Amino acid sequence: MSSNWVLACAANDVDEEDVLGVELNGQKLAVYNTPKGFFATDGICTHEVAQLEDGLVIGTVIECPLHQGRFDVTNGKALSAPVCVDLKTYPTKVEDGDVYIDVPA
Amino acid sequence: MSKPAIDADPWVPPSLEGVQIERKKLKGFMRRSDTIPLIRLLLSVLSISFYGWLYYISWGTIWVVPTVILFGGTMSLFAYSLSHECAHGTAFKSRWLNETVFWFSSTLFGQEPLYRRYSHAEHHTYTWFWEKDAQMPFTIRQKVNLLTYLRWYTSLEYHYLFIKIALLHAFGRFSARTREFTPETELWPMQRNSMIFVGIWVVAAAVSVYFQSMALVWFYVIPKIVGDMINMTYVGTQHFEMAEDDLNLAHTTRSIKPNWFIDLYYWNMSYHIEHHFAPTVPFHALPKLNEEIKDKLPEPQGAIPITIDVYKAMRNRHLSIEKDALEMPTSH
Repeated sequence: MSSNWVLACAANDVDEEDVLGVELNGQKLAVYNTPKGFFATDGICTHEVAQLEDGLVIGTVIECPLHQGRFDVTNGKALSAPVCVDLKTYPTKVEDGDVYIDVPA
Repeated sequence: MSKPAIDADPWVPPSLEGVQIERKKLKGFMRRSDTIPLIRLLLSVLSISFYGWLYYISWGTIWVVPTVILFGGTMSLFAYSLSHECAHGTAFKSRWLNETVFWFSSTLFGQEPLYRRYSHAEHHTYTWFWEKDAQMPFTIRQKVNLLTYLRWYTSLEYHYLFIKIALLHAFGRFSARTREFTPETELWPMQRNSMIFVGIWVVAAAVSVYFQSMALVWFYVIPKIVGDMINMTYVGTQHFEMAEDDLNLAHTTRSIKPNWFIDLYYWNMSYHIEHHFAPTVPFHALPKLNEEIKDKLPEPQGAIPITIDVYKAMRNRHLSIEKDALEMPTSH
């Protein structure tokens, strides 16, 4: 399957250890700036409808703002109740100070 | 009053209308710590143990009354509030510490932790929405008489429900309501936890009988029954007799006037609107969050005046509702 890199935001739009919500191709996504680099996941929690962009980033973990379920943003793995369904992740790359996400066209 | 359709899809959880807070500031409030909660935990455990000693040396004197209230009240507030904070995962920065203390405090409180976590999550999703909020005991549409009131304020009702639910879950029997808010994959962990939980009760009772010891009764059961009334006085201020089926948290939820002594054991849940507004903010940052948004919140009252108002409102409603009105639910 061919890549579809889409400009998401400038790298400095996202503070260190923080998250930014973006909408690409009609999809709500979350972009994370972590100590291990930039990552992207679906923007809505898999437990109930809550915007992950309002959550707390702790290292490479995002904590949902509504019920505090946690996901590893590097692989989308659900880490603790009440979340138990993994989050979809998307490849990212940083070029010339911009963050790109490979999203399905 | 905003009246959303209960089947709105997607459901937008309640919020504080007209209250916005800058992301950077909120992020600062969300930061976790291990040191602050560990100091509070130590202070709480040491002081409650001291109150327990005062209660012990008061046996046979009139001082047993105030000391059992002090010991039981602080123990009950502490167990309920710490278990609540850990259910959110906000008590400690380290997850293992949070989960360990969650088990300890939930056991002391008397509710199996995983069920507590899922039912409380639903409480935040549908705060004070009838038949959706898993922690809403009754509604203003129903007759609530003195007996109902006492059943809740003595905590006998919720302890009866906790025991019943833990026993049913230990045997793998889950209500349709529980299945609604618990993912299928979590039912077995909930059953396993309930088995452990019931096991703890059985072992504690068996050890007491074997050693012919009344220690558990004198130092846990009796103070807990007394203390739960104090705890319910505070828990009852959070939502009782507030607006129902309303998305604005300022209409469904109350904060109370903070009191440093109570808040030490209540883990700052006096700031209850603030907690519902941003549940990711840990207990120790709630006063700072309050400073930021207090101008947009209703003026908080003390717990005792609120409790009196709540009782009056229930009594008036009881008198005004026809005899054949809706029955009180037996469980929820």
